[in-house]
Amino acid sequence: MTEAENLRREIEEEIEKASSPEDFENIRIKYFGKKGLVTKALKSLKDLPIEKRKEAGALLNALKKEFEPLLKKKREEAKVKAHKKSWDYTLPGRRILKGNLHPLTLVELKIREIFSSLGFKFVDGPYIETDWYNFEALNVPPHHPAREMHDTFYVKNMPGLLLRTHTSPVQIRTMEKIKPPVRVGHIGRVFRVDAFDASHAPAFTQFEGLYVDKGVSFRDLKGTIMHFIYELFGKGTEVKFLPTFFPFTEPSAEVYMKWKGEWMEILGCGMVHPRVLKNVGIDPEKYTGFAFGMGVERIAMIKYGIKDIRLFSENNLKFLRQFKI
Amino acid sequence: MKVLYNWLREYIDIKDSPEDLVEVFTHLGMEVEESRNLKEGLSGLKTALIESVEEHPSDPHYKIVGLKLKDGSLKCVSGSEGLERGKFVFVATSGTKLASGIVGKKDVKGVVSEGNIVSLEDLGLEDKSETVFFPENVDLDTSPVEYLGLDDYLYDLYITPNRPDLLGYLGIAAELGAFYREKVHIPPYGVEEDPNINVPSIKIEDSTGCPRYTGRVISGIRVAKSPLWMRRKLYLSGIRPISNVVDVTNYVLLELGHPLHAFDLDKIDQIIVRGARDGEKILALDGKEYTLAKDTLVIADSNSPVAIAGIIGGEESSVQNTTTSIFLESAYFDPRVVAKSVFKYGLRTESSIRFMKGADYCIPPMASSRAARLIQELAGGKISKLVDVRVEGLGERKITVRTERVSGLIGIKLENRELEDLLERLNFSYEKLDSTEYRVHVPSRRRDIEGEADIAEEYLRINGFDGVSEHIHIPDNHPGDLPLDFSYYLREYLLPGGFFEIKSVEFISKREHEWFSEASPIEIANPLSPDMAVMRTSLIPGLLRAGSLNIRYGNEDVKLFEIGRVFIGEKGKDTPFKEPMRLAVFAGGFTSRQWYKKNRKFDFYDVKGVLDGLSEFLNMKFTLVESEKSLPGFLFSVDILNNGRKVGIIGEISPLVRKHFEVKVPLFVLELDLEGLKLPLIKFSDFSRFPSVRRDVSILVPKGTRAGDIIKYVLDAGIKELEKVEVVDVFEDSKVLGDKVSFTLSLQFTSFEGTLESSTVDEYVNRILQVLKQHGYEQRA
Repeated sequence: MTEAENLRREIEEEIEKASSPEDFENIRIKYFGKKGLVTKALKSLKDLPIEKRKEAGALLNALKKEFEPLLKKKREEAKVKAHKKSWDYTLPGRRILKGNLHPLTLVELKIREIFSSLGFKFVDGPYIETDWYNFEALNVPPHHPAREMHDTFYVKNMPGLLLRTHTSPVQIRTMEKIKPPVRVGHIGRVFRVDAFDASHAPAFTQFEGLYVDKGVSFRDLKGTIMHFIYELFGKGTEVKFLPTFFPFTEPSAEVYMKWKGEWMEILGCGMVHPRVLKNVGIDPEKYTGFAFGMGVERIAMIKYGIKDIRLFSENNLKFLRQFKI
Repeated sequence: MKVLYNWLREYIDIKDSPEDLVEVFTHLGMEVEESRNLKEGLSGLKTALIESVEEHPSDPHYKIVGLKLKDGSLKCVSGSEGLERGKFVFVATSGTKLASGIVGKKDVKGVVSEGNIVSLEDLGLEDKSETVFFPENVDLDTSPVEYLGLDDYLYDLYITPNRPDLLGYLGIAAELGAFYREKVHIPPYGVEEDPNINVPSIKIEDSTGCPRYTGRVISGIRVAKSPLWMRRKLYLSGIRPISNVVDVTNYVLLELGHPLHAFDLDKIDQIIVRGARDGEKILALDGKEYTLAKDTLVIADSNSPVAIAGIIGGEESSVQNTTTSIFLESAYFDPRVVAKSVFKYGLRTESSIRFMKGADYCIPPMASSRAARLIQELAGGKISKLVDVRVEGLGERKITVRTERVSGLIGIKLENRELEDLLERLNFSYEKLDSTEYRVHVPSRRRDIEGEADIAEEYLRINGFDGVSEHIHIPDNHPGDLPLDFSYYLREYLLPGGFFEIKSVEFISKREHEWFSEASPIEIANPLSPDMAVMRTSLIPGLLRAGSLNIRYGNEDVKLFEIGRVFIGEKGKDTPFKEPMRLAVFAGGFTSRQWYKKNRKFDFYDVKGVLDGLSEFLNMKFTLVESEKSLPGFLFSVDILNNGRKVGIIGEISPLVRKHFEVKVPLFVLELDLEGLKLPLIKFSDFSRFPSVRRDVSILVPKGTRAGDIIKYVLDAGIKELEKVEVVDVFEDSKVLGDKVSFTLSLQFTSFEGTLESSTVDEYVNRILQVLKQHGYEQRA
């Protein structure tokens, strides 16, 4: 067996055993480095007789040509392999630890989106109100039995000031400023003397909508409400209107929707009472309008399946973390 | 309003089953809060004949009663009086549901009782029974449920405050009549009057408070217990039976919805309806003495008040067992006048509820006659003529109704005959004025009907809302996209920082207010609790409540924010308060612990970083200065200034407050007034296209030197190529640096003219170092 054949066998055996990039590099150095066995053999060719020199030279050069690139390739492959193995893809990554919005904000944004697309402009109003805006202008004179429906917080040492019991004062404030067509929405907090329990809170959020123009009828109200419910809870949601009483609308209705097999009351609405229009100097003979109001907590409770209204103000992270968007 | 199905059927033919009637009530706007089948659980109730009564072997209070039933016999143990052989009783056999629970066989002191001989109390028909119930005129075939009138349904209806006419059976019957197109059966109220009976004089001094007062006398009556049917109806309706006379007044109140009052005729000499005199007193039927304020409307005789008008009668003039003649009041009192007294004395009675919501001024004579007739039926006696004192002009109201207008409101094109049909169903008479206009006579019981809008509501109520189609009108010039407000972008800025949005209740305690605000607070006159006595003057207490809850519940990293209003009193101004919007941020506990990141306690810089980011986000400059006067809630705080005006505060919460919230870790907060802040207009500015060059330099400064000062001096060097200065390291070690601190600054340079040469940058750095040297800051070797 020639020297070249021996070397080839040795190299092949060593490659067989090698696995790490270093192993391959060591083999390369051992045989093809400056002092490598193959390099040395090539150098010692000159000591061979001339007739043998050519054949041996060809064999050794073939070795170099074949194995040197192969070892480099194997080394690179081994490197990639070693590199790949180094990532424990089950170890948690460096996460973006993002906070999220309160569920009431989520619902508020959805409501704003739906009504903005219908041309409603969102307006604001104070939470501390006068008796006129909260009651009288809305057709609830002093001692009116309808005041029983709202248990009111009053401001100490400031007679005539109270915490608004509903968002409807914004109707009056808006119509005092803007003449028809009026198409506004408002979302804000309201206050009632109700101790906390699973379905009551002394402060909660309401959404109010108002549209006053020539020729507005209950038909427009129904269309708007149905559109809203479909957008929020899905098209085809079963909805029913039932008569009820609000001092500031006539006719008035309560809207129920069927959700998971149960009828849920979700909002109150009606045609703006002619006296309310008169109170803000709008001629009810010329203009009609509709208004509606709903509890934002109630919407969120239905939408997300929340059973206790206290969760909205408790601010427990175990609650808040569930509303990722 | 509690309503019995069978009682209701006395006035109207109901086409629906008791179960289906619920739907009809709801359809008409009467919410059914509860409906109950009265015979439920009573199938085991049997009529039984007492065959034997034996002494109990071990307890003399009990008897062992042998009972014969239609099919079999039963042995019961009972402690009731009056158990005698030959009497009939009702017995609840095993499985029967009574007020006290479900009946089963039980051992009574060694003797097995196989059922319960029941009392009316057991059956939920009275408060307290003396003995078991002994039915009369029965045999073993008698059904106890039928005998007791329990084959019935009881509904509890929520009547909206605008419909006092529905607080009586006849009103509800009228509604059902309109719905079913049926006529209401008016109960008989004809009486035979004896013209010889004297009626005390009636004088109305305040005809605003009392526009109508009728009275009559019924003499020669026998006051006694009412028959079972009467007691049952009242008791199930929530009214305690008292005596036949009083029961009849309550019965008519439920039947016609009109309150009546009976006085003992011997205790009053005349009737004067007048305002109370200051300090006058009355001992009322509820056993309490009321000192009356001037002008409270009362019924008085020549001496003193005998009733607070429309609300409650006096004890002294009330009907007793010994009463032989009564004066029966059937009047109409003004709702506002009654409401005022109700609020003043806190007296809510069946009578006052109806008067304050508005009774029917046409009904008093009929109600009086109906009651007189029933009293005569139950208590005998003779009935006088009715004396009716009234102001002029009480009668039907008339309103004009246009078909077109009603159509316009409901959005359904109505034909005249449809409107006429509605009015006929409602039993409103009308005259046609011209082709589209009607004059409608509104019955006095329907005080809620004021105009066309009310007629539109009646149409929808009776016919339902299904006939209304749906329509949406979107204006041509509507804005189209979502107009998001400033606070939305603020939230979007905070979320990626790991802050969670909270919403807290706007009430805080006075102490919490004092901890974090010097403003004048808005206090609540009638707070739910001292914890909720003040409208928040700062968002910090709400964040602390939420933050402490989460830390105590085992969260390590609690980062929260709230955007909301605070309430500041401004006495003396036109609007004596303002409601500015604020943002507040809270960090408490430790940064999140991860394998790739060591955790640490949150500190001041975590909340300050929010402000620094905001400053960039809003393109606004905030200056910080140590708070001159520190608020007790803070251990340390700095004021945030914008153009010299205080707009917020950053600080660490004081140990006192932390203790109150039961938190041990340090807490940091930021609060910022959002008034006047707005999103900046983004304007593009050109930037250098040549690469930036960074140089880090470490500066040694005396301990206590502020980074802000160092940066200011760096900028003082006035090198326009300096793009950015960042503090990248702060190093303190007395062994190495003595009393000095090392700040490493990263300086970034760029030029619009070309790539900066290394030598140029060196020169810039040297110039900066020169300036720093002037202030005594050396470069660290």
